Order: sequence, then structure tokens, then C-alpha cells
Amino acid sequence: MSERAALDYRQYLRVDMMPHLLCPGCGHGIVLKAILRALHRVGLPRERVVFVSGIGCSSRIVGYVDFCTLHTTHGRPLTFATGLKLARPDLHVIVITGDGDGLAIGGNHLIHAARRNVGLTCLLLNNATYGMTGGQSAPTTPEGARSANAPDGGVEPAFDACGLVAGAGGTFVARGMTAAPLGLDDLIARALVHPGFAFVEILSDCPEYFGRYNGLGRGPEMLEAQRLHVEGVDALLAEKRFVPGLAGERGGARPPVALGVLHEARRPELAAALAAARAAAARPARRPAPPPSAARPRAAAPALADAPQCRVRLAGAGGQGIVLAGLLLAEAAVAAGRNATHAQAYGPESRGGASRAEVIVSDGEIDYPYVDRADLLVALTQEAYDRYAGEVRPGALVVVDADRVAPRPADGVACHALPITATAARVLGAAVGANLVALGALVALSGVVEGEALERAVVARRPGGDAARALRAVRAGAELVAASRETP
Amino acid sequence: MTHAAGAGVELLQGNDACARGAADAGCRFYAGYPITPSSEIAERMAELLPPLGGVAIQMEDEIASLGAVLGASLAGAKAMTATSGPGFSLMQEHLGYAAATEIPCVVVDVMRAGPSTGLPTSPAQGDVMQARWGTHGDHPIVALAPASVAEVYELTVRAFTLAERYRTPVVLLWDEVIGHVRERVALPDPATLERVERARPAAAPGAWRPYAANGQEVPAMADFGSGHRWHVTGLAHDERGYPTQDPAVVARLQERLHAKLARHRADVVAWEGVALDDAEVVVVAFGIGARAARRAVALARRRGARVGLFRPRTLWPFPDREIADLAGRARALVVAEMNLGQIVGEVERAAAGRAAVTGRFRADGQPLTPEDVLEALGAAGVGGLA
Repeated sequence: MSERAALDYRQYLRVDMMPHLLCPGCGHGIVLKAILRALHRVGLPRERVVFVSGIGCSSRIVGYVDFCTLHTTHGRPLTFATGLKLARPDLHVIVITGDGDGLAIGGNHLIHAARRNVGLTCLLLNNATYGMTGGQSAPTTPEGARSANAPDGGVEPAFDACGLVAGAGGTFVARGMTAAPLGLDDLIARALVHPGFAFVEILSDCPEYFGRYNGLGRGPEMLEAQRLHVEGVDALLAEKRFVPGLAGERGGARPPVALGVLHEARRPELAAALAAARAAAARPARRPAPPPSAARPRAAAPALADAPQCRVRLAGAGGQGIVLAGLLLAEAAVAAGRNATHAQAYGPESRGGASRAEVIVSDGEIDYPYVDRADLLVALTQEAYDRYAGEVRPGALVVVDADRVAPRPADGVACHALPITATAARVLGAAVGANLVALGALVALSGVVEGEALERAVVARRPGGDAARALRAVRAGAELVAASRETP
Repeated sequence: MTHAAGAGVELLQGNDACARGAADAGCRFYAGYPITPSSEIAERMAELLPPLGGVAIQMEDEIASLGAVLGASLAGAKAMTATSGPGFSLMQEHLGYAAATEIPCVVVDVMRAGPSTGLPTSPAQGDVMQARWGTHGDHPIVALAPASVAEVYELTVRAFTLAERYRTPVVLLWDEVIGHVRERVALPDPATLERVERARPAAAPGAWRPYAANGQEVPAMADFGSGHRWHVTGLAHDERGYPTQDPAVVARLQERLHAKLARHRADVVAWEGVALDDAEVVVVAFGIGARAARRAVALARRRGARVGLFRPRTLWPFPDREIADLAGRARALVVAEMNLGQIVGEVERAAAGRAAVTGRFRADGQPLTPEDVLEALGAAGVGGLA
């Protein structure tokens, strides 16, 4: 007792914020004192203690404690607290939330904070109603209880907050009540030192609304009703003292409200787990190195310069590697000291659907990264050919997959129908390299970049994680061109 | 935007350049939720930040993402999130919270075609007004709009500078094309970048008044856990940070929140002009639309037309004085944007009838093309373009 006697609450309070806004008889003041006693007992370094709260009566108590305090938006204190804890793992973060704040609008954050095992203390003050807005029903309002918007009693069952958090993965779950405030000290103190997500539901009272609407009397009478809770809520309901009319009409037995530490487990805390993962992965980022640059000097282009451009369109189906082929071409051009852009168009499917990549290669600035009419077109599906064959420039070079596309003759266009899919299957044993075969053929036919530059880009990017295999496909494409030239 | 070829030259995607810019600017906390077409930013941040001692986390939704960013910022970290239209809508409440509490943060919105799920993989510029007015209440906001991969990097770095300097949320807005296009860039040596940090209090704990401006518009800000005990609330607050309903104190807070950007307009508002000196008709465009316009202006100039391009790099605060000046010199302003008319209203307001204002709008999921802009120039009376 001497320890408690030594505590002057004012040392932890913003006395200049008083008077507080809580109503006479509200249970939240009892909780505030229990929090301060627990903090005093545990002795956390005061400058590293941070209070975070949401919106509602309970959340307002952080304004009255003299620590770093963060009064956030409705339902979201755990999101702010997660960011604080991850950015500064040495902080002791205490979240004060209510039953509406933490279980209705913020319910999603509650289960995810528990799942992640963020190392913080979450105190949920459950007064079974929305007090600040005038006593509407909460997700904790017992079935049958009256509220501002359920004048004849609500029909929805209430959340079991502790069961929810335990099920979501919280590693310390407890329940206390304002009718037994010294027991609260113990629960909160244990939560404060728990290395993980520590959750304490605290049954509190709102005589102003919940009590008044349900005929439960004022603060003292509601505390008395809480005491009876300990012996079992069924008895309460039978006596019609807690929620008048409930038991007789619905008759269903409710489990007694369990108090104390309900669940405790140990598993890695989130900030610590992230730090361990960082240490384990203390290796360079896996970003592919850019291809070596040939460092050809390039004059700065004046505004609105219009240097000659080679406009390339590659089109096919999603999953054919169209975007990748365009990327390799653009990387080869840039590595060779030229300017290039790569734009893409795709649908929501990861596989299937139409896919298109557009590459512009130039020695000057490129104002606009899309191709209106192409100098070079690769079409790997009939659909792509039908769509884009007409959108080419005079003298354009067109490469199509003879295994999938039946081209039509067109004046002023050199169309090369090559067995691209068959070649990929022959060289790689699968059709998945058709994009690389086509790219090899395109480069050999057009000279848009040098073959060596393309090969360097392929080696640097290692498509499919296998540079040698990719090179085989690109070279097979070039060889298709050489063979077709030899054929009369 | 030209770079010498040689060391450091690479082909880089817009979203990738954002992550690189953020990391180089000193961002050490990222929280986000997957959404096309922004997800590459989260993926790159997950690669870049841990080796730098930072954290990248995927939250349960976009509300949580910006909440976590604000918490991390209060702990002293430079922090960012990235999303697209629907996710940006979910972030709006926290954008207002950040404006009211003056917590620095950077929010990227890679714009796709909407409303609703719309065309998730297609570009649009429909969130310009959402960036300005999407959150509740009166509030200042900064929004920057790059039009190239190099500029994505540059303006991401700039976003952190402005966020820290003015203690404000800064929105980065670009369309799907700018997010996904790959261009040749040579990023600067990060050591040469100007890295701006928020002012921290010089006063000792206890002597510092958290929201006292002390002659500056922007109060100093203490990291949580640094020894200063202070209160942060979205309620209207006095200089101590305590809630207040005193009309005079509330008015002072509101005025200061707006004044801090208004008085530093010259530092915040940036734009680019192309061939404006003798232009009779000026295209106003941003993002990929400005790239189409640049091409159109080049083509039209070759045909002898006196046309130019005004490209806001800062969308909010809107460069209205510059537009007013243009309206006094040019005959017509043609606003090209990938929505059914958002920036055009700002241009009309600024032009105030001194120049004709027309719009070329496109909201079909396709990027504006040079042909679209040429057609609009023709409709505005520019001859000889056919």
C-alpha cells in the first residue's frame, strides 16, 4: 500500500487541461487512475511512453495525461500506433480505444494489429454504447438492450472482444472491470510489460445513456451490477437487473463474463521480427543491375527537337512476354547510348487478354512515348495482327508468328512470317520463349539495335532467371532470319 | 531533362523512379495496400528500405496505410504511401488529419480511369479535384504532377522537401502512363541532393509550445520520444495543442494553416513553359497529356503556327497568377486533360475572360494523343495544321 500511497496522480496529469469532459458516474475516470497506477508501478521511462487514441469518450482521456499523446481519427488509433512502433521500436505505445472505436469502425485494424503481434498495449474501454454521440447501439450492446436508436431493444448479438482478439492472434488477452479497479492495475501492468500485442477489455459504465435507457440507475448502481457479473450474467438477466426484459423474452442463457488473463502466448513481436529479417537479408537489393552503358556522348537536344525515331510496336496476348520483349529492346538501346522509351498497355489479367508494348528509339528527345503508326511491328496473335497491321508507316517491317498469324499482303510493307512458336518449342522445348525468338528476329531484320547490344541486355536482365536459355531463343530468332534470306 | 550518356544511365519505370526518389530523399517508412497501377512503388520500397534500416509494410487497407505513415512521421521518420483513385478516396480522412495536425507526409496517387473500379489498368487524370477537395473541411494541400520518369524522381524528392519544410501533406499525382512508362534517365548522386528536415524545437522540454508559430508560419515539431511531451489532436487546438472552441484561437489556427503555403507560393508553385514568348494559342496540360501536347506543339510550330505549352508541375496551389498573365498575352488557352473537365475550371477562373478557354477532354481510358491536341488547336482557330 505504501507504493500507492506515494503516488500523486497529478504528476502524470495535465492539470491545465482540467476540468475533464467525462460525465458524473462515468467509469472511464476509474480506468484512467488504474492506468496511472499501473504505469507508476511498472516504471516505464516516461519520455518513451506514447498514448494513442481514437474518437469517443474513452479516447478523450489521452488529452489529460502528461505524456506524448496522439488523439487520432475515429477507429484508427491502432494504425497510427503501428507506424509509431515500427519507426521507433523503443517507444512504449499505449492505445486507448472504445467499443465503437475499436470494434465497429476500427474492428479491421484491431484484428490485424493482433495478427501482426505489434508490440503495444491496447486498452478497450467497453461501456456498451456510443456515449459521445448520444447513446446509440454499439457492437457490444447486449442483445435486447435499449439504446437511442433501438428504443425497444436491439436484435443484434454483441461481440466478444477478447475472443475476437485471441482468435486473431493477440498474445496477451485479458478482461477487467471498473467495479474491481485494483484488479485492473494488475492486468494493465502485466499488459504493459508483455512483449507483443497486449489487449485488455475493460468493462466500464455509461450511466448517462446506457444506464438511463436501460433503467440501471446511476454510477454506483451500475458498478454494483458489474459485481454481480462476476458471479454470472445469467443470474443478472434472470433478475432483469442488467438488461430489463431480456431474459424473459429470449430465454437464451448467456455465458458468464470471464475476468482476468484469458489468453497468453509468446511469438515474435512485429518490430523485432522485421529487424531480424533485415539483419538476415543484409545483402544488396535484388534489383537487376542496369546494362553497362556504351557511353556514347549525346548532344543535349533543344526544346521541340524532332530527331528521327524508330517506332516499334509489339503486340500479342497477355502472358506471351510482350512487355518483357519491349523492355529488353529499350534496355539494349539505352545501353548502346541511344534514347528510348517503353510504354505498355495491358488488361487486368495476368495471363490472357491483349498485351502491347511500344518502344521508341531515337538519338534525340522523345516527346510522346506512344506509337501512332509503327516502323516495326511484331504480331504474335491473329487478333494483334488484325488490329495493328493497318497502323504502320510506308516501308514498315512486320514480323508475324507464322504458327499463329495468317498475314495479308499489303503494299509497301515487308511482312516476314516466321515459325516463331515452333522455333521456341524446338529450341527451348516450350512456346514460352516465343517473345524472345521474335525479338531476335526483329533485331536481325531491322537493325534497330545491334544484335550484340540486345544480347548484353538479355544477359543483364536474365529473363526467366536463365540468361543462357534466353540467349538461345534470341539467337534462334536471328538464325530464322538468316535462313529465310538464304532461301530463294 | 537531358542527361549525358555514361555512368548511371538506365532505363527506369516511373513508379520505380518514385521509390528511388523517396529512398534518396531519406524516406525510411512506407506503408501501403496493393492497387493497380501503383503497386510497383510498394514492391520497390520493400526492396530498398530494409537495407537502409527502414520499414516497408503492407497494411490492411489504405486508411491504415496513411494512419501508419502519420504515426511514423510523428516518430520522426520521413514517410510515404502510394495508391490509386479508390484507395486515395479511403485516405481522404487522414489527409485532412495530416493537414490539421501538420504532420509531414507524402501520398502518391497513380491515377487510373474511374469512377469506382473503372478501368484499373488504364490511365486517367480524374483525381485532380479529389487531391484538392477530397478531404473534409477547409485545408491547404500541395499536389505535384510530373510528366516524365526523370521528373517523377525529381518531384518525389521535392515532395519530401515541401512536406518537411511546411509540415503539410504533399500529394504526388500522375497517370498510369507516367507510372508505367520506362525512360532513359541518369539519376543524380543521392549525396548531392538537398535533403530537408522539419525544424525541431530549439527550446528545452517544457518551454516549447508545440503550435506556437513564433513569427514563422510553420512551428517546429518534436519527434515523439525525444523528451518533449506534447499533445496532437485533430480537434481545433491552441498553441499548446490543447482542444479549444475559442473562435479567435480557431480562426488564428485556420488562417495560419492557409498562410503558410500562401506566403511561400513562390517556393511551392512550379511550372514549365514551352515556346510561350510569341504564342497566340497556349495548350495547358500535365502528365502524359503534356507529353502529347509537347509533340503537338512541335508539329504545329513546324507548320508555322504560333502555339505554346504551359505545363503546371504544381497543380495545387494552382498556378493561377501565371495563367492570368498568359491570358493577357495569348488569344486562347486550350486545356487538354484526361477527365471531363477539372483543371479547365481553374484556368477559366484565372483567365477571367481575358482569353478564350476551351477544353480537349478524354475519359475513355486512353491517353491523350498529339492528334487530339492538334485537333483542339485547330478548333481554337489555329490554321494550317491539317
